[in-house]
Amino acid sequence: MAHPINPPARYGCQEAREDAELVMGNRATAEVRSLFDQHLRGCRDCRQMKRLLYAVYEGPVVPPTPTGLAEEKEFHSVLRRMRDENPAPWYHTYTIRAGIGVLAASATALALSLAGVTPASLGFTSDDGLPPHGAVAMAQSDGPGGAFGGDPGEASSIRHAAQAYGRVVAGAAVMTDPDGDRSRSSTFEVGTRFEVDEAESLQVGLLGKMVANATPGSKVTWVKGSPSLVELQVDEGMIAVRYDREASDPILQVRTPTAVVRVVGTVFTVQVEKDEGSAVSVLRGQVEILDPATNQTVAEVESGDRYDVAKGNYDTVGRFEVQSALPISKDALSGGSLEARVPSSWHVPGLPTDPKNRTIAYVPERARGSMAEEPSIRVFGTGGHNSGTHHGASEPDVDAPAPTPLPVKPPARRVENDGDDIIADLVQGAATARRKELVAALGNCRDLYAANETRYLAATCIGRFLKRYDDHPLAAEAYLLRGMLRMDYALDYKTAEMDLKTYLRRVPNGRQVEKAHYRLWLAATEDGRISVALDRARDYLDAYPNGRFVGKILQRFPELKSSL
Amino acid sequence: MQEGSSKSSMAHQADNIALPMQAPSVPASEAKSQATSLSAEEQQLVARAKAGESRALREIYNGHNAQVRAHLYRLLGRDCEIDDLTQIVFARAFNALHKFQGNSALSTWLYRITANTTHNLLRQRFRRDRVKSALSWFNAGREAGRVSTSRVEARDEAHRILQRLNPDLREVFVLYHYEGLTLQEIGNILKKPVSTVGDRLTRARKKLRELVAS
Repeated sequence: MAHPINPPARYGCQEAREDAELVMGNRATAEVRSLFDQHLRGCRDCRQMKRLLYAVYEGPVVPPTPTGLAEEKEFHSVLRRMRDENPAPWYHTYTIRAGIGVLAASATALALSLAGVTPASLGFTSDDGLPPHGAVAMAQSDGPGGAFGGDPGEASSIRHAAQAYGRVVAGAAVMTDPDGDRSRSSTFEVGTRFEVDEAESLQVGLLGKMVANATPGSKVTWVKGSPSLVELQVDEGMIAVRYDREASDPILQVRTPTAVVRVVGTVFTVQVEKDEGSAVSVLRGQVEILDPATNQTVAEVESGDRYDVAKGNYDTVGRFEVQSALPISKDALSGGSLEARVPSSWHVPGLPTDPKNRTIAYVPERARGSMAEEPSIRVFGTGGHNSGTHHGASEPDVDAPAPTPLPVKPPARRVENDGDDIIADLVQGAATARRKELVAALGNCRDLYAANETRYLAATCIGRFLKRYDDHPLAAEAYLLRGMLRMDYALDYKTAEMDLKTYLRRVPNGRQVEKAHYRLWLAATEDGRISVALDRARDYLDAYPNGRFVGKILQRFPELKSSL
Repeated sequence: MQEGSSKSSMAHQADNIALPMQAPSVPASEAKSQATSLSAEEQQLVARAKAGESRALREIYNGHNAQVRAHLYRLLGRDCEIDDLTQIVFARAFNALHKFQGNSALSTWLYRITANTTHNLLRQRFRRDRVKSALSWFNAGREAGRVSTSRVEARDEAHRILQRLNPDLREVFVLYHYEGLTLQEIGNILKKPVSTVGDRLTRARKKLRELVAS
């Protein structure tokens, strides 16, 4: 190694290399440090050596860890690998042991009963052994749309077949069950197809985890509902979904003819137009759009953006999307206003931040030319239903051959709603009380309740009523209705149960007691508290063996047929 | 020097070297106390995860993802398999959770699983790439004579140097200097005596000095 200048006779490159770590670690004496520095000033090779050694000890700059969607995907891949690497996870050994224990206990019980000895006579109560519904839950592990075994490896909060159902919350549609038959029940299972009425929207809850609003004329099918994946298919129209997903909840996919929208928790809309393809708008969170053929990511859409799949371009969300998603807005329920306000958590470019001005009127319209600028945008008012036409219809071509007549479409059926009679009773009760302000307050709530698009605001309205008239006899029924709305729109089962229990406590022999018990069962089922749900189901069946909701309970817990 | 033949004094000497870039994430005293038992919070988390609570698995993943990923990156460098390996480490950890006794911190346990997961891979790659890296090293050395090394270039070069280090030595060097673990903790992770770990660290530094100077 050649030195451009003469270093001290006893301090060369060899010495500098040996001392480099001492100097870098601040452990060299002042004399050594001085010799080292002096040597480096005149030796380019040693300067480079020092820089390199520093870089080696400093280590590489680690790239950031994935966040958001990428993080979600990675965690789910971990869980998938976990299952693949160990198909019978360790916790199953406990299940097997427990199973063996149950078998042993059953055998003992059988032997004792044959000998004329009952467990009760030995001091056991029903609480001492495994609860019978534990075994029921395992036996019911295969439900529609996938396996629901309560397997923690699935890392899912959908653990039981009874949860694998959807429920029509409001609206009108032609519903076709998986066998192709017309369905008349408001509870539906995976494989159900909806052709939404041309004049009315449809609001549904799925798995007790998400709410969706399909605009008039939409054609939607619930394709899959397993503990890890929920899939909807939109063939036409628009669907808005609110999904406040927690870590263990399934991922949601919305499939259109030209795209797959993958969601891990957000508020968004998917629109499909016959000739113009699909568009995805996100109001909160983020979604990923995949190519349906290759499953490769095409785009990621952030809140405030609208992505046109056919054109491959981004725009901002517009009034139509916001309006479609508002009826399933959760945030507005907690607000004091009875006017539909855009939640502060939604990102709508151009919308003022002042809460007073966050109404639909302030949402900017998108420029003409892009999909959804249709004349068919419905102005949702309180009260009656607007017969808005479904957008996308074009003028007939005079030269074209006469079209073949379309098969006659069955009329859409408005799903009977549990709350209709309650709100009617409330209003009638107020009128009988002859108190002007009472009538006005409940009349306002009734108007909000009457339209699908504003029904979510009725809970706030009833909350106001309760604040003022809690001691009034009508308050009990108002609690029941608010509880039901909290279940249906906010998916807030715990608070809803408090309201339902308040009703039962206040009017233990009221007209709606059966409905309240049914709703309590439904809340526990949709919330995934299966053992509680089974207890409540048994209580209901004991009290109302011919009740209105027996069919709905047995649909989800067929094993209870024997208890009738 | 043969592995395991070094004296414990050497190990202590190695452990006492504190270079400025060594920034232990946990003070040695604290790390030692963690090595014997879990914090109350961790105990609760592990108990929940053992009971099959998926949210607890998610919390473990969230809390240690950066650690596992960064460690893999420091061991392997830029690698398309890092995503895959991160998933494998967590999948193995979750499947083995019922065996976790809580005798070490969760982070130490995950380092052990990472070391076991990468052990064979590191050796296979080292053997496979030995000739290739020697050639590129020779070419890089010729280039280095002409061009002054910027900070970014120095980092790239440092990365190449580290990849030339024998996997056994690299593991110890990375755990000590980049992850900030003590020799005792590294010994627990690699299931080697402290003296062996100290010896490997000394050899790693010597080899790196040679590679840097060459």
